[in-house]
Amino acid sequence: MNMNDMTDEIRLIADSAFEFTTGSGGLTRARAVRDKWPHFDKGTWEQIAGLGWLGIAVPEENQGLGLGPRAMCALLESVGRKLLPEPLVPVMASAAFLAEACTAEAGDILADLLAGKQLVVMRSEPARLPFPLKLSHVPNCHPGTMVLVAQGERNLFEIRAVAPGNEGIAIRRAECVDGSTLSDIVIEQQAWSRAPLVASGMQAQAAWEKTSDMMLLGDSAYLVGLMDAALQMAIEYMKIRKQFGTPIGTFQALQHRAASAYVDVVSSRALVYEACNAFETASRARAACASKARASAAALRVTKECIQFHGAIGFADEHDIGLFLRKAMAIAARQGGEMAQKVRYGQL
Amino acid sequence: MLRQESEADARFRREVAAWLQANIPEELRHLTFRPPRTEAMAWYRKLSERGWIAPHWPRAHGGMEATPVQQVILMEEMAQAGAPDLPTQGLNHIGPILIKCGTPVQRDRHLPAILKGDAIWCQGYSEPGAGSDLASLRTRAEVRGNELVINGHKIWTTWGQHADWMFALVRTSEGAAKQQGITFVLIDLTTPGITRRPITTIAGDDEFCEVFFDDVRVPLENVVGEIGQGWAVATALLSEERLRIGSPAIALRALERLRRLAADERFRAVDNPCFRERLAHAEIETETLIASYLSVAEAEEQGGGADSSYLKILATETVQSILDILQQVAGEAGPLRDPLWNEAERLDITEMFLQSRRLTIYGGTNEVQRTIIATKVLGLPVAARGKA
Repeated sequence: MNMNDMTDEIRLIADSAFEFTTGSGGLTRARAVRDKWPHFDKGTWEQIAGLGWLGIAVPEENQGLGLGPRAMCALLESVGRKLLPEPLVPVMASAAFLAEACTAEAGDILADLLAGKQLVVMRSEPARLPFPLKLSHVPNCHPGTMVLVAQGERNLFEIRAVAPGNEGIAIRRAECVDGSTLSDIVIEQQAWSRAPLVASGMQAQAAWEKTSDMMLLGDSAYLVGLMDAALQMAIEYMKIRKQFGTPIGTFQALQHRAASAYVDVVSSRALVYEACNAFETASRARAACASKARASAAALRVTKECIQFHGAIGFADEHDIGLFLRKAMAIAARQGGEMAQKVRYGQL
Repeated sequence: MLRQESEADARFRREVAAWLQANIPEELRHLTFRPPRTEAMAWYRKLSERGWIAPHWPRAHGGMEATPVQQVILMEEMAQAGAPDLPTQGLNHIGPILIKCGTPVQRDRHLPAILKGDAIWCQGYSEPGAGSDLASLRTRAEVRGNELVINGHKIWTTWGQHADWMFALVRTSEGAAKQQGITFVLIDLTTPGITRRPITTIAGDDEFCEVFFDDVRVPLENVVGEIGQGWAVATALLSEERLRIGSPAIALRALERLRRLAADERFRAVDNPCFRERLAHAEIETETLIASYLSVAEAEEQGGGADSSYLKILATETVQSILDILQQVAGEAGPLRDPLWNEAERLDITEMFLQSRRLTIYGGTNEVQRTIIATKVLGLPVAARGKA
């Protein structure tokens, strides 16, 4: 996005998000959280809730900030620059969905979500019958997390709020390279019927698909911030690291690759914000899908290049540049990376 | 374009599509090479009469002053309708330069002729010894009375053999830096002493030529800006020119070619899942380019500030990557020189693929562009090299 393109309100959000992420520990905390799996920093989460971010895409009458996807993406781009470890994207999207669902159950869950008392994430891909329902690789299921799960379609479409760990809902977590987790969840039929019904029917399905696309945009924006910051770090390094008596940044072989990485970053950013412009239109799904495909591919290209620009120290875990590649791997994979998104794009 | 079009923009799109459908001559559709001068200029004049020849020019100078969105609509519809390539040096380069740096007399004389298609322009920048290192140019011009006398040799002059006028950079003196002492001048190509020799490209067309100057006398009133200050004139519109050279127009045309070939029975690519993934890639990259173009163009409209240095790399490499896919889809037919025909449809296999090699070379090679980004935008240190 061009800076001129941002409204003052969005710019303010982006700036304060960057300040918060830096002030709350920045990359040092991102590293610490990675090393203390499965760790969830409750205090930071409550602060985030206090800032109102979780309701950024929730209408004001539902106690949200009532801002659109551009504001959400600007915020996520900012926090991505310092690899904020908290699962903002699925929670923001869940909040938007719950507000849209308009049921009493949804309202109660939303209130707890916005207050920072309850972590709620959504699993965009509907679960398939038969029972028990098996969900694999669900991100961000910290202990105590509630997962919104979809099942069925059209008139039979329903969303239930599932609490992994409760009776009949087994969960097995696995660790990811960035310190986040992916969980396999198995839901028995009885447990499914007992789980609160949050929304159902065709309208709910449409809202679900829309919030799933919102997650694609959100993750794309986070990746844009992440790759931009990684490149900036590598550029600073290339200015000071000397070999053969000169900063390595004077070598054209590296300059040109850095320039290619830069093209990747700015063009991916342009696509993500253009996709925000398309969010309320018929091309929403195509646009979100394109953004996620492009941002995922570019973030991996750029962060891999940034490791290479650092040479051996880039391969050492002690240097922060590696955190960027590992986080990019995790976020790029969410809801499917480049290949999966391109296959979907071809079907839309 | 992904965003929602306003009612007015949607109406404009329908109007453009219908008009193009009714007005592009059948034999000019989906050509890769520019049609011969008479046919090309007949189409040029038609577009001009419709008011759409100069979307990016200000209204005060006869342009359309179109919004970036309207410009993209025109590009998209022209690509889909197969509108032919036209000479653009007048519209994209010298016209805007004269609007910014020309005298009222120069503007009155040349701008209407450019808009109406009465004068074709070519660019006299490159020389045998001055390509990427343009400022080392050696075509000399000596001030004698109220004339410049020009001797030297320009090369890679696009459509130079068909042009009526050339805007050129010539050396009028030696300065401390080689950018000094260069003068920007307008040359009537019917002036005695000019010899033109077409050069055949690897694509097989005579797209450019070389031009020799032997005591060519040009009135001083044809100098744009001050004598010796030509470098500043040539670079005065850098960001605007970056928008032209970085526009999605050619990528949209390449994508249209790819879709047409893939839909053809003989190639049956649409049933191939591997192709569908490649097509999605081409479409996503084109949308990325359109989004980037719009973002820079809209920032420019609001007074600038956005970096435009990356657009040329993005635009040209997107085109080439789409045509790589096209070559793969063509399979064994890949090397066919002439287009195939599918009932009334013309299917280009190699022409645009070969022609597109020039994109990453002209207007500053993509390597030069990358060096500019690395040093000017990213702030990496400049390498020691020959005198810059």
